[in-house]
Amino acid sequence: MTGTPSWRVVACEAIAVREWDEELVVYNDLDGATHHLAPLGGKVLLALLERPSGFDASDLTARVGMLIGIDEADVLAPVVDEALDELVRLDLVTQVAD
Amino acid sequence: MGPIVARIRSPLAPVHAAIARHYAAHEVADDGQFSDFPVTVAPPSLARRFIRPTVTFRLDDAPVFQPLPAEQAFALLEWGLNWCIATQCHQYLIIHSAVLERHGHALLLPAPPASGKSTLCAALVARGWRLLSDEMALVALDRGDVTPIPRAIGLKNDSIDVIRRFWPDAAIGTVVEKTLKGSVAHARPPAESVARQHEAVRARWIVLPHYAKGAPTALEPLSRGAAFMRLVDCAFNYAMHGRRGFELLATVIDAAQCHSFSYGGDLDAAVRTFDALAEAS
Repeated sequence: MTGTPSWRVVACEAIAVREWDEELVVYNDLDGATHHLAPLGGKVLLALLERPSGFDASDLTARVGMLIGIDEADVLAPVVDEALDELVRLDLVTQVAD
Repeated sequence: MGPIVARIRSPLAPVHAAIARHYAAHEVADDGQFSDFPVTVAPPSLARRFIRPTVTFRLDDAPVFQPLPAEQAFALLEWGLNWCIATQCHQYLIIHSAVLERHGHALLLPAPPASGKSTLCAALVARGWRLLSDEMALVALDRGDVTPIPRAIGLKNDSIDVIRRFWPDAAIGTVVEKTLKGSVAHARPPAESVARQHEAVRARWIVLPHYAKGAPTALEPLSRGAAFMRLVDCAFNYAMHGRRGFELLATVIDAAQCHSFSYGGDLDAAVRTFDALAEAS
């Protein structure tokens, strides 16, 4: 049986963030890297930081929608997926199978 | 010089003359005083004093760089001191940036080489901005303010003549040709900037300069995120300080107005732009 994939921050305690005008800069203690995230990527990361255990894709899309004031999940879901791919590439987020 | 004491030894008369010209206003430490950087600029051997003369820069008697032609001795001293500060002074977060002060606030011009940073810095100094440094912002880890270290302003290539015309009273030393950076010369820092070298200030303006010949003078708002990342890129020892460095730079950005600045050589317009920025704050 295939689990529903969830997403979580690799290590919340290792992440420091600062937000200015919808832009997020992020420091990761684990690798010393600093990132400048586009607005949506920043909101996805902030949502994930709220819940260290992670979100499934649907709940994450809903939470990000609340943060940015968009409730059309079908519009938001693909761009949240893209943002997640980027955050995984940056070693900030990992996928976890239930 | 600022928080640093350098003990400089050299047998070379041109180095003595250049130090006398550019560091005339600086305090001279007592003979027995501790020095952060005991450095020597001298020929590597007796032969090299006379045959194809070269000089080396040594810190604590250890050579740091490859030898350079003897006529580059003072430039080598300046580059060597920059290296010492950038690699040793980790009680600061060190950013490759010019730093000036007006009305009790610091202007940072963080930029890679060839961005016009030093020319712009010299122009602002010529028109009354206090020089903290033409090369490095020393951000105190504990306080977050910028510590002055006013030294000779390094000028390169076309900017030497540009600044001679713009700042006729500047004490600019000998032009040395054919260095790795092209032609270089140094301008003496104003005595007032040196006299106030123990007055740290907080950053109020972070401006990313960009020179392009003939470009119009333009100051544009810059997002804090973009300005932050420029500071990260320009900080020599950011990786060493890790999260503390991240938090420190974020604090600096929090308090600052951030801009990008492009100019094409009209230094009068450039100075007016920065003067207006200072007056508006």
